[in-house]
Amino acid sequence: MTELTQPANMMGPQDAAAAQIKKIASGDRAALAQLYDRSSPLIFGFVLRVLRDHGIAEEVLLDIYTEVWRKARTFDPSRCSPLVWLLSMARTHAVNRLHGEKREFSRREQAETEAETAKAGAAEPATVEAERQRLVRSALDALSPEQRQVIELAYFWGLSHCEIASRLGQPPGTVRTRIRLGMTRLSDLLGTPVAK
Amino acid sequence: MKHDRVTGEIQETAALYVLGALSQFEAGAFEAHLRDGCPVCEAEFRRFDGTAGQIGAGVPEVETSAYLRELLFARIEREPQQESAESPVVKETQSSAAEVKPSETPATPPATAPLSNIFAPPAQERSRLPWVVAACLAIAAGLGFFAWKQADDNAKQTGEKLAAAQADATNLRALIDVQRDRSRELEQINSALANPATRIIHLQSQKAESGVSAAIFWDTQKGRLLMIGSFPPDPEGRVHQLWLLLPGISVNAGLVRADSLGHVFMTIDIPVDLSKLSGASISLEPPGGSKQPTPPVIATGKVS
Repeated sequence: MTELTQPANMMGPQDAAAAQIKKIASGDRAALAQLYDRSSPLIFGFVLRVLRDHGIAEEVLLDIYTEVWRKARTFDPSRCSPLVWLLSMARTHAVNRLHGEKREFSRREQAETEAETAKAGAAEPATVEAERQRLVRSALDALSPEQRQVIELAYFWGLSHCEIASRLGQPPGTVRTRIRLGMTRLSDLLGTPVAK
Repeated sequence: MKHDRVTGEIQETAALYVLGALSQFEAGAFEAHLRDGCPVCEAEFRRFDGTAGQIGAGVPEVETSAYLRELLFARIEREPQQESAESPVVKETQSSAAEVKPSETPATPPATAPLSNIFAPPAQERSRLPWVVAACLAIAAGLGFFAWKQADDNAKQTGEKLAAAQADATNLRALIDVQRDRSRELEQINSALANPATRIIHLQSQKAESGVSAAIFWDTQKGRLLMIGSFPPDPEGRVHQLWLLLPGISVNAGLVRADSLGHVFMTIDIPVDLSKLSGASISLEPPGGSKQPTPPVIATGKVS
């Protein structure tokens, strides 16, 4: 994992990843292998975060990179970075699968709490990836707990603001405002990635 | 209408949109607005889209199993790309062939050793030897070819069986997904029916040929609406659009998107007061939908 997953505010050129996607579009399997090798740990971590099931996450990971292979030609570097493109695709697959699996809210919540607890005790490697994670996490930590909660429920759980409002017992307008304020704060802290 | 400055409402819509947290109706309206080319909303959308993309980058990385990589490449072998580059297999074959050098050709056997003369056949028989050897080689080559052909046929049959099994598995998975969706829909409908506060709107075709058959379940307590039904394919250049009938107005409830079998299941979530809802209707509209229904409506129904 090199520049592909660097955070926005220290994002270096992503030409290599974009060039790999361009090669994949012309049928270059070696380029797909390179992109997979450098990006799959992050994408798998993300999918696992959403689905909480190793086996299902593996199936979804295969679906994602198969779609990368098929749809590489649709990647437009002027619209988003390779990282955002991959994560967007991963989120679509993972959230759709999550809805298909229809998991119990409480079961996931418990699993999530256990995972967060385990994570908190783990020592992090001093790598670029760890720095990226630290920056995004610190940005999320800078949000109020209410803002962070609604953003995570929307992003990782694929819930609409009405569903979030229903689960939290809050008016939809309150949820909308929390999302707006939280996303604005995150945007200020993380910046907008260079579309390259 | 294009905006000339950023407002809290624009930020809110863009932020919710990139997180997928808007209702279907609101998301459709925002997409249409972006297509209209509002630079202010486009800028907000891009800003929040970039931010949302980074949220996922904060998760811890997890190493994947090596076999997944193998599975991926086995799978993409069945995913053709029209503009595929030259196959690496072909390259490998070509390079292997080019690497065969004359010096690596097996050396010519040495001249007959003197001892071999003792066992050498008479001159007349020796003259037939090349033919015998050639015949043996031909038979061996024939047998070899037959064996190879049989192995090749077996491999092809195995490959075909494997492909058929994979196709069956794919179809089965698709079927399971459909059944799972149907089961989920039924759960929601059963839940709605179990609620005494739920009222139903039966949408009936105005003309038999319109082919629309649908029912809307209205949870009057939660203000939720579910529609399930069967719709014909959209006619050329037209789409089906749903309208909710309130006193004096028809409220746009979104485009109706049927699956390949014509089945429709949609949740209607619009930010309006539905307490005076009297019914619903379906009309055919240009792609993207309309702000008002274009007569004639093709199906309509009242709250029962």
